[in-house]
Parts: sequence; C-alpha cells; structure tokens
Amino acid sequence: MIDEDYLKNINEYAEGMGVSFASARGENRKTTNYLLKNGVIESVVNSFSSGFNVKVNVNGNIGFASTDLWSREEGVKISDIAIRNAKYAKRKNKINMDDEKAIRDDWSVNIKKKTLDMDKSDIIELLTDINKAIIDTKIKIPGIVIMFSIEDIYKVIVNSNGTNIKSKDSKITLFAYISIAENNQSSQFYKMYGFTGGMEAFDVWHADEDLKNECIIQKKILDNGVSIKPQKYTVVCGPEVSGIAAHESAGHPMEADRILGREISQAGGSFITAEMLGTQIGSEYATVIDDPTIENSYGYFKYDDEGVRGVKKFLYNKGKINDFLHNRESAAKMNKKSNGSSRAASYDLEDIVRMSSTYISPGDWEKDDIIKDIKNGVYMKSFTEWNIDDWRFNQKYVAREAYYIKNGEICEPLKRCVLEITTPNFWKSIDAASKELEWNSAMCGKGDPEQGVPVFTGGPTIRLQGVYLYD
Amino acid sequence: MTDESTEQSEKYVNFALKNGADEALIIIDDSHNRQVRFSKNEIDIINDWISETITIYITKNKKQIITTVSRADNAEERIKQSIKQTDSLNENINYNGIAKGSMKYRNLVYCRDIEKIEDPTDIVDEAINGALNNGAKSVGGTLYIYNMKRSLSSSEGPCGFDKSTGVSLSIRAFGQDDSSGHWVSVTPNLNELNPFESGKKAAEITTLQPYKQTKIEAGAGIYDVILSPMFTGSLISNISEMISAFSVEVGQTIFINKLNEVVAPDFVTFSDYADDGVISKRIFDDEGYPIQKTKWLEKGILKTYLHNTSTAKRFNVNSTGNAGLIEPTPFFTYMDAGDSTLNEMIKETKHGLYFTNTWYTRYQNMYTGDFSTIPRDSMFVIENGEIAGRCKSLRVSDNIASLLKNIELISKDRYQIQWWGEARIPSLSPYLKIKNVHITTSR
Repeated sequence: MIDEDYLKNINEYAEGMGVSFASARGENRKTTNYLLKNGVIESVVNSFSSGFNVKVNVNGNIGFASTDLWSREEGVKISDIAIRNAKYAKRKNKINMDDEKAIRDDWSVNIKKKTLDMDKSDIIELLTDINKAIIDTKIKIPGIVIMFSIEDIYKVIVNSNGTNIKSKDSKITLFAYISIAENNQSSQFYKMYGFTGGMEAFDVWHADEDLKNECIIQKKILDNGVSIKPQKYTVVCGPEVSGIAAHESAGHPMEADRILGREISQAGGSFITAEMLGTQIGSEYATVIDDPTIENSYGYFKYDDEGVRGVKKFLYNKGKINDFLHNRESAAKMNKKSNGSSRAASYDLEDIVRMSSTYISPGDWEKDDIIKDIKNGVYMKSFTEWNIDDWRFNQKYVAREAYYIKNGEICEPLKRCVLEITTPNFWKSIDAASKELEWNSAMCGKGDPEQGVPVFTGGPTIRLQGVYLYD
Repeated sequence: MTDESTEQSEKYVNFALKNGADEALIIIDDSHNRQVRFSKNEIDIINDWISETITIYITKNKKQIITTVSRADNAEERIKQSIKQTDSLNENINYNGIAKGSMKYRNLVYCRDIEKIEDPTDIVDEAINGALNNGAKSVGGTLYIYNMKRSLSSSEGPCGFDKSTGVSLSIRAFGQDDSSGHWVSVTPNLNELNPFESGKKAAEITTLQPYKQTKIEAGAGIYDVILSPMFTGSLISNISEMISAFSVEVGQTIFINKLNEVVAPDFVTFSDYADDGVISKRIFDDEGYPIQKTKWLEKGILKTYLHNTSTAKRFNVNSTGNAGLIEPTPFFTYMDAGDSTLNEMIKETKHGLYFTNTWYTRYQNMYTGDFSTIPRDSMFVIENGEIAGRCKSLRVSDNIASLLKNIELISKDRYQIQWWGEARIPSLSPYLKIKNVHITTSR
C-alpha cells in the first residue's frame, strides 16, 4: 500500500534517467457504494483501490504509466515504461511545464461525523428513511433509485520540483432518480447531493425533505401545469439554472486545454480563443468564478494533482473574458502560471484541466425586487434535460420547475418549457443578480478515458431580458 | 484453457465457503492496456495502465456484498470482512441467485499481434497521414490497445478463463471553415484495423467535397434525417441500455410493458452478442453464464429484455447471459443490415439533413423517451435528392421511441462503433434514414 518514501525513490529513479520533469502520484482509495432500488437494498459494493503513476517529460514529450503493485521492481518497470512512452511520442512542438516552487504540506479534510466507524446497517437505515419520505407523499411513484457512496482518499504527490504533498480527502455523494406516474402522465427527475467531509453532509442536505418536496412539486406540475406560449420573455433563472450555465458555458469554454485543442477529439473545443482575453462576452452581471478553496464544497481541494495550490479565479469578470483555467502544461504554452486546476479522477489517470466550484457571482438585488417589475415573464427555478455543443456555444435547458410571472407575481406552473440559447446571448441578457448564492453538486465529465470529477455549480437568482422560450 | 489466476480464484471461492459464505464468486481481471492521445497532428501523451483487480461476490442468508481489491491487498482478509459485513445488511427479497451448473464455453480466440505491439505510434502516424493526405488541416484522436485476461470461479459451478484483445482508433479531422469529421476503427483483431482509411474517412466527412463552399442556414422544423454510423452508434448505445431488465424495473426505459408489441418497422432487428469478432468479445458473463446471441427486437417486435439469473427469475424467463452482478448489461448490439446505401438515402430525400455525428444525449424522461442530442462535426442540408450545402448549430429534440418507429431505410454497410461515453455500448451500426425528426436551434 501507499508509501511516501517509495514514491520518492521511484521519482528519483525517473529523474536519474535524463528526464526534464518527473512526478509520482500514489493513492489509497476506499469506497463503499450502496444501491437502494424501489426500497430494497440491491447492492453494497466495497472497493479498495491502491496504486500509483509515474509521469515524465522527456525532451518535450509526455509519458505516463500506472500500476497497482507496490514493489521496487514494479516501480522501476513503470518508470521505464513512462520514459519509453515519452520517447515514442517524438513531438516537433515540445511540451514544457511552467516553473513552480516546491511545496511540502500535509492537508486533511475536516470531518465532523466520521464515516469509517459507521455500521452499514445505520447507513441503510438512512437511505431507507429517505425512500420512506418519498413513498409517504402517497404519490404514485413506480421507480426510485437511490445511490449513496462514501469515498476516503489518501494521496501522496511527489515531483522533481521537490514537491511532497500528502492529503486525506473524503467525498460523500447521494443520488436519487425518481419516476412519478399520475393520471396517465409521467414525470422523472434526478437530484445529486455532494459533500467534502463526513456524514454531517446529511445535516446540510436534508435530502429526505428535499426529495419529498420535489415529488410534490412534480405532481402539481403534472396536475396543473400549462404549456408555455412560445415567445420572448423576461426570464428569471434560479440558482440551479444559473449554476449549470456557469459550469457549461463559462467554466468549460475557459479551460485552457480545450482552447489549445488538446481535448478536441472527444470532449471538444471552445468558441473562445487565447486572443479573446479581455473581450466583452456578457453584461456587468456576468462574473463567473471558479474556486476550489470553499470548504465542504464537492469540488474542494487545497492543492491540485500537480501540487499547485488551488486559488479563486475570475473566469468572466463583469462580462469580460478574464482568466483561463490552467494546468502547468497549458500555462507554459500561454506564458502564464498554473492556477492549480489540474485534477485526476484516480491514480491511474492523467491530471487534466478541470473546474472545482464554479459559480456566478452574487449581485446587489433582492430576489423579490428582481421579480416585482416583471409584467410578463417566466421563473425557471430548476432544470432537467440539458446539453451544449462541443464548442460550448449552443446550450439547452429544459425546466423541471417553472412558473409564469404576471405583473410581478409568480403564477401558474408551466410544463417543461425550454430555453435554447447561444452562450453570448445568455450572458449578455443578464440584467440583475440577487444577493444570495446557492450550490448544487455535479459529476463533471471530461478527458479520455472519461474522468468524472466532483464539482459544485452555483449562482444567485438572475434575470435575463428578452429570451425566447418554447414548449 | 486455464491460467494460474483460475486456480487462485478457485482457492478464494473455497476460502469464502469455509468462512461461512453461502455462495461465492471470484473474478480476477488482469489487464495491461495502452493509449495514445493526439491533437493538432502530434502526440500529447502515451499511457500504459497495468492492473489486477479481484472482485469478491459473497452471499449469506440472501444478503449480498461485493468487494473489489487490487492485487496488493489481502484478498482473504477482505473475504472474511465481507462475510462479516453481511450481518449488517438486510435480506434482498429480489435476490434469486447466480448461474448454477457446469458451463461449456466456446474456444478462446484472441489476437497475438495486438499483444506484440511495442511502439503504437506507427498506427497513429498512419491515421494522421490518412487525414492530412485527404484534405484535413488538423487531426486529433485516441488509440487504445487492450490486453485483458479474466478468471472466474463460482461456488455454483461456473469456472472459466477468458482472454481478449482489441484496438480502438478514434480520429477527428478538421478542414476549412470549422468543418470536421469523426470516424472510428474498432476491432479485436489488428489486421482489421484501418488507420489510414479511418483518417481518410474522417477527412472526407469534413466537407463532402465538392460542396464545401455552400453554407445554408437550416432552421428549426421537421426534417427527414440521414444518420451516419457514428450517430446511429450513439442511438443504439442508448436504446440497448434501455433493454436491461434493471432499466425496466426502475422505469428508465421506453420498453416497459412493450414485450411482443411492435416498437419499430418490420425491417428492424437488434441482437446482443459479444462474439469473437467484436471489440467487447467475451465468452461468459459476470456470473460465468455462457455468452449467447439474444435477438431482443425482431422484425420490429420487442422479444425480450436482457437478464442475469436474478432478474430472469423475477420475469419468469431464462438468463440471457448478460450479467452484471448487480444489473444486466448489454455487451455488443448488432443492428441487422438493410438494403440501402448512403447515396440512395440521399437520392430519396427531398428536404432533409445528413448528420455525421452527435454527442451529449440527455433525457427529460426515459419512460416516455423525450430527449435531445446535439449533432456535431459537419452536417449537411439535402434538397431534392442532393447535398445542397453545409449547415450548423442544430439540435435533435425529439422522442427516442418515435425515432425508432420512424426508421425508413437501413444501409447494407455496417461498422463497429464505440467511442467515449457517447457510444459506450459498442455496436454494429449502419447508416439510417429516419423520417419526421424534430430539429431545434438556439436563439
């Protein structure tokens, strides 16, 4: 299992083989997953994963290899394979890493209610109680899937800069997928709850109450929802919608590796180019921040997987394209410094540029004031189906919960209305943002093989002027 | 054929039974997989992944627990812990056992040439050259090389050893004016990989020359649509995941209460079969049940769901050999060939669209099938049986059940498709012509 001195030795071995950069990242990851299907525990899966990787830069070429066997011979073998792989690459345009100072640190996530000591029956009871809260609504619910996971991650990062960082992380995740069937109509929704810390997550989430309420709301929409008249409206988006927009059409297009084309074959590119820094893309309310330092957020980390300190970054600032998300490779290509955005989903995957907690900065409006002057508008509180093209330019959000706004009042519920809009139109249309900030959890996919990393999406309630909605 | 790991898995099964398990099943997966990632005509990184994972499946008093450990771990200690942990669990009233009896498997077939690949960059260079020599300006993609061994031993009888190899090349070519094309070559046999042809095909999709100069604004509306195998592969991946009995039990499928009903035209047939010719080839499922061919949709009629032992008993049928220890899963989907060609489809379209790829398929309701997906790479407008020009920024916002019913033509040619999360379940996918597809756009 993981051994800091062993990793240092492996890294020193790689360094001694004529590389310009070497890093070794090792990890012990203990995960327990629970699946409750229609009220019955369908599976409990324990996973004990342990292994390390060696990543090297040889004359501007990157090689990587990983193993789950902790032996001296295996370490030498893995280093040799990584170096061989780098030599095979034979690039004309050499890859460099930005200069970073050595960091030696040992950090841990603050856990109030420990997970390791909990009996599995206690956790099953928690999940069963959530299921019961949903059933007790007496709504006809033919399908409930509840998934819960506890993940404890001990990680060591060493590199040829002299960095040596140890960390203990803990991620708690709850996911529910619920089907409602009433009066020959059906509605489905899912909700995800993520937390960095311990079982105190349940005190923050109130998932039983939240899911119960969501079922009641969805039934009301099935019973009373009307179809929207397709036209332009003043649209008020709740924090869930503003948060997903921050993630999809501000966070992703500002990832420097996308801008440089490194993700182009699968996860896609960006409509933003390196030359567009400083360009106005939105209104003065379009300030989007990525910040991994928010404690207990699902995207929390102190250092990224290259050993660079995570910092708060203003991606869009008052509507201007301001700061890209960087790792050491993309930063070097753009003559910048890494801003600590390199993450890997596990020890056997390369670290790439990722978001953490990405959100629209709160504004100066009271939520009531945002709505009170609207004569004919729509309040889109939450979303279900969504997608965006691989240039991050055309996005679609289908409302899970929405209402007409008439003369400053929230009125009848709407069946699933659709906001389908370009990225500049979305960000230019914002003319108000509320003071409060709310968060949601998501698993962000990117990379090849696809890596899911935990993130927060967040935002205030925002108002968009003159945007088209249809049913 | 056996392997040392088969003896090891048997040993662990016996250890589990001695320590109080009612049933035990051990799977040892030993793999050395490799990958080359490239963009802008150069290699970004080459990865090697070496691992050996032991999956421990234990039941005691109808309580199940699964534990996966790496080879450095103490598997016997984890087995003991797993058995003890069943005390904390509730009885799974849905549980109906795992495959029982001595099983006979087909002979092992794998590609020794794939095992022998040293420098994988020759394949990548060939693919890049295939694209650049045919009009592409920039090329990106991935090459995977798979070498996997699996040993399985079950207290209920099944015992087997499987070995599989594969190569998977995904290449995306970029031409002028934001044009792009994506193609894959996916096969368990190295001699069937066509790197140069794949690069060429991706490049040819970018513009479908000589039409590259014409750009047409195609608005929202209802169109007859032709889908390339890349797009079809993504749809098939979605549809085949809905055929799992698990999806039926939790309402995440359009196929609930549709057995023996017409769900597609009578020339549409789908089967699940991970035979020796496909990238996801395997000889037994996760319970050790032999892989078989299951025609789940035949001549437009839904015939069965995909089952493991437990779901099969609940549905009062036999396992289809698609375990998943937790849920049944499709392994490889065959769509039967039609009698058309891409050119014939275009000729028979008066006013339509040709999509060469898609991504980001998301549902608002998997029971009704309401969904959208975003075509990516070059897309084309068809007028009066001819490609009239390129268009962009369109979205398919429709219903998956309707698309299935509205298939008009299927091509004779089919291709093994699998890429990223978009076509996760591999398939043999044709070109399709589908009528009356709803298209939307951003405003």
